[in-house]
Amino acid sequence: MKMNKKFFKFSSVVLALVLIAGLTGKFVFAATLTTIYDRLSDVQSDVASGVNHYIVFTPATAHSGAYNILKLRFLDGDDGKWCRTAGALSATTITEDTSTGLPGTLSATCTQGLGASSYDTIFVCSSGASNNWSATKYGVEILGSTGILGTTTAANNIAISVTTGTHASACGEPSTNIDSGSFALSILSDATVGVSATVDPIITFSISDLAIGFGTFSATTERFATADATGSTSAAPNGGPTVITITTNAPNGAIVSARSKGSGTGVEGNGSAGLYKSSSPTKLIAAAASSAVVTGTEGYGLYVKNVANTTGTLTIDAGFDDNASADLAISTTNQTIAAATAVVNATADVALNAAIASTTAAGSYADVVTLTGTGKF
Amino acid sequence: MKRGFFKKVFSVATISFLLFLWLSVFLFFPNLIVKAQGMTSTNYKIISSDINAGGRDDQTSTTYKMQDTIGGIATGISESALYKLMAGYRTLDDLSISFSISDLAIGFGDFSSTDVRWTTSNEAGATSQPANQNPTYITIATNAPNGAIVSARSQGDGTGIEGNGSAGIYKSSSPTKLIAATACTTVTNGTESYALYVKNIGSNLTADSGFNGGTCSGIISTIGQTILTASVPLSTNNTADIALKAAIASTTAAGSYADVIILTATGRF
Repeated sequence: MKMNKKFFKFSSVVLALVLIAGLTGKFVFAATLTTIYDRLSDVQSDVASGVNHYIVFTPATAHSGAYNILKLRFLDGDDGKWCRTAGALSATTITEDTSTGLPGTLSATCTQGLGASSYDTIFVCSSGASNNWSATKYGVEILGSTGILGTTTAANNIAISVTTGTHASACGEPSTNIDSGSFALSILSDATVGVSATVDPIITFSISDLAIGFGTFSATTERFATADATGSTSAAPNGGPTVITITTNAPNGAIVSARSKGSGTGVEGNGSAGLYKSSSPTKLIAAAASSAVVTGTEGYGLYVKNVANTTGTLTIDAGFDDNASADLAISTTNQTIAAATAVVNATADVALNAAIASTTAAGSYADVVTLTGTGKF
Repeated sequence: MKRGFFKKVFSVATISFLLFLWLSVFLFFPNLIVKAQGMTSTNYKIISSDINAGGRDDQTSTTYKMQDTIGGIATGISESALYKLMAGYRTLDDLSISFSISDLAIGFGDFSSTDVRWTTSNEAGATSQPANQNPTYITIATNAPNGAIVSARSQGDGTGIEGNGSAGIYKSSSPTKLIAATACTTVTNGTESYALYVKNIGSNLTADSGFNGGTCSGIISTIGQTILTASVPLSTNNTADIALKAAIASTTAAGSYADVIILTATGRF
């Protein structure tokens, strides 16, 4: 009986201690989070910033604190890897994987571990009105802000500890833990696939009509070349007398140039530009600015009109736009008559006008206008 | 003899009564029960509830770490550099996920015409869809009970940070040029287009409807999008090809283009 009394006293003390422990909240009743994951924007190792976390979790137990808190605790050896800079993070709701946006006013922060038994930790909190959690699958996205998020070194099966709980007044370590769980991540030394391609240079250049003419100068009236080579006393309509088409993927655009054979051999720079009578006695109606060609005065001009851009912009050079301002005479040396500064697919009319004087030698005149299209790759 | 017998009976009765009182604490004062402390570590996960009392999970030194629970017999995890003990809870030391990508450099080769081209693992490209496991394929294994998610995004003309820039294949030399990402259905001869899709999918994986096969309607973005999912743990039939196809116009700027496809795998635990 003496022995039983001692035992009874001892047991009573133990029971009292248990009751005290219960009152101070030290009893443990584990409840496990279900369907929990953290989809990272990068699973590449050692990313220094810009890592976003898309977190989905389902509490097992209702949470009704002033602050309901989700705590992600990373590995002890990863100090400063996941939380590159400690501080406030941005938290927004997501609904991926059929989740419901985490309720309440959201906030988040990360803290850095330092040494053994100290861990990089992310706290996600919902507070304010209607912030209670139920056994619902919730989704929340965490992005860097003052706090900067990164990744750790490459490894599979990186287990992350998760705890939920509440706090009466702050977002941070829960004062009361409620549920727990864990998940694992895989971080690769390289999680990117490089994709390469080369686009070969392309250029096509064409001239619609290779034989145009002024026809017969029966008077000194200014005439215009036409596609049918009969000429006209008025400008050729759009699409005449000849049309160049240039298409190129040259990134820096294209140049269209022209020169006149005139009295020369056709080699660039040889002879003088103009409309030439090669039969003896020879005669050159010298090239002039198209806007300077007037009735009764010998003159021969080239200009560009009617640009149609399908892609990009082909622009007529100021010297050949026939606007009586800074217009140029064609030469035996190539001159830019139109250009583009980027890829282009366009057409333009190349036109010629001419006039004679009453004393211009009779006979047949000819010129060869040499056109080139060049891509600026 | 008789006295001794009654003494033993009394002792047993007393112990039983005390045990009853102990359990009554939980029965009549359920509010005294507080939910679990975070009794997880990098290597285990609590998968069942346990009634217990006391215990700590923060007993550590530079050479020793102990997580224990009073009420069981030597429960919890005790580990050091030389040993590790997992006792008491039903624990799992097998949270696992692994992810790999077979080829990290793929290419379309030369667009010498405006015909549709596909990437190949040798970066030469082709005018038809490459064979299985080409141009690159992912392998994912996980014991996550709810399966997994594989996501993809494009760097395009951005920095590589999620959401920065626009998706596509990009010529970074001046003048810059982006062939913008499109749906697979838009990739046709002569039209600038660039699409990602998945093919040759293991039976435990499911392609997202937007990225399933060469007629996909989804458009890859600079923000991660789900391209594959699984709803069960994955140990087999867990590979899938990541394919890309593109076309240019006759005026697509010549030069070298590149993109970076950023892939992620997530276990749904």
